[in-house]
Amino acid sequence: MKLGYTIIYVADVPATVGFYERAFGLGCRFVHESNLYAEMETGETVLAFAGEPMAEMNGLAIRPNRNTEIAAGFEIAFVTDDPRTAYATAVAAGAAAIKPPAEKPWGQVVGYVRDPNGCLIEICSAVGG
Amino acid sequence: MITPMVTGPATRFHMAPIAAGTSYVGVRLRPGTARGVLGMDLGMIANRSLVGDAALTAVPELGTLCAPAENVDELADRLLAFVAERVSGLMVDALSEDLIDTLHVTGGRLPIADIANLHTVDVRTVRRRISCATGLTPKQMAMVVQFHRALRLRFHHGLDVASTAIEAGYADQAHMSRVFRLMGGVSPARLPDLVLAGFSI
Repeated sequence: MKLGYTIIYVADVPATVGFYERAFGLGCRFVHESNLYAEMETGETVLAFAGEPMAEMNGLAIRPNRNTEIAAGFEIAFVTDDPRTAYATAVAAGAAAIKPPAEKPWGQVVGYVRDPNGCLIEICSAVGG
Repeated sequence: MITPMVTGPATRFHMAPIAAGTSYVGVRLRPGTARGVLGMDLGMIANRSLVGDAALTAVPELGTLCAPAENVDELADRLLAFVAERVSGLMVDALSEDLIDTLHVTGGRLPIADIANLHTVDVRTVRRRISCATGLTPKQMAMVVQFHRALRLRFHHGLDVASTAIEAGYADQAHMSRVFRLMGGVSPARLPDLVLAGFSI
């Protein structure tokens, strides 16, 4: 078994795709014509967004992600050579600033923002990089 | 003989005795649409069925729909055309629709205060909008959504009773059994051999 997808349920799939393109420079692999599902170009492990109505269609019940709520207990982490510039780009694109990048004792630079859905995003340098 | 019947939003089950040779033609209206289609305050018919003259008084158009027909299909076509026409001119406000959708997305498990917070409106607004759109209070709607999901988990997904109670969000199995009995007249222990509205078996 391998980790294939990270799928986040969101209120507005196309808006979320647009944000991830602008804020983190990701490409979009495809958006389903229903606008209820999209995949980003993130290599072998796919970051995907599903519209909230998909939850019920899949027989699930979820607590919706909202930026007015406490963040859900997970984060997506993007690794870059220049976390400080990436952080500024993300915030300029509409991410909510949470913690500007700072160096950890082990040398990694780590910052946090929340996306417009309220999901936690870590922006960091590679460990030992 | 053709008998018109309007059944309101319900938190309880109705037993409908079916005589041999009886056929049913019906449409189930999506929560939020019934008020516009029927043109009435749904709170008035919550947990009630209007049968025969009572249905005709409330929705006079049913008289035309119940005119003699060649066969059951003709009746069904008439009913569908009537509902489609009413639905096409329907304006359900966006907030009410979003609030109802959120009850479904969350499986009816979130407290109404949390639903209000998600939409940054106050609890009274949620009560007013959902009651007006569906004829049930938000809590009652949430309970119906939760019950329907539990039915699907138990009888479509094939989960056992204990797992169903946990995933559907009931306090324990006894709580779930009580809700199944009150709302559906069924036991979670075995697949009911009767038809539940909106739940294909």
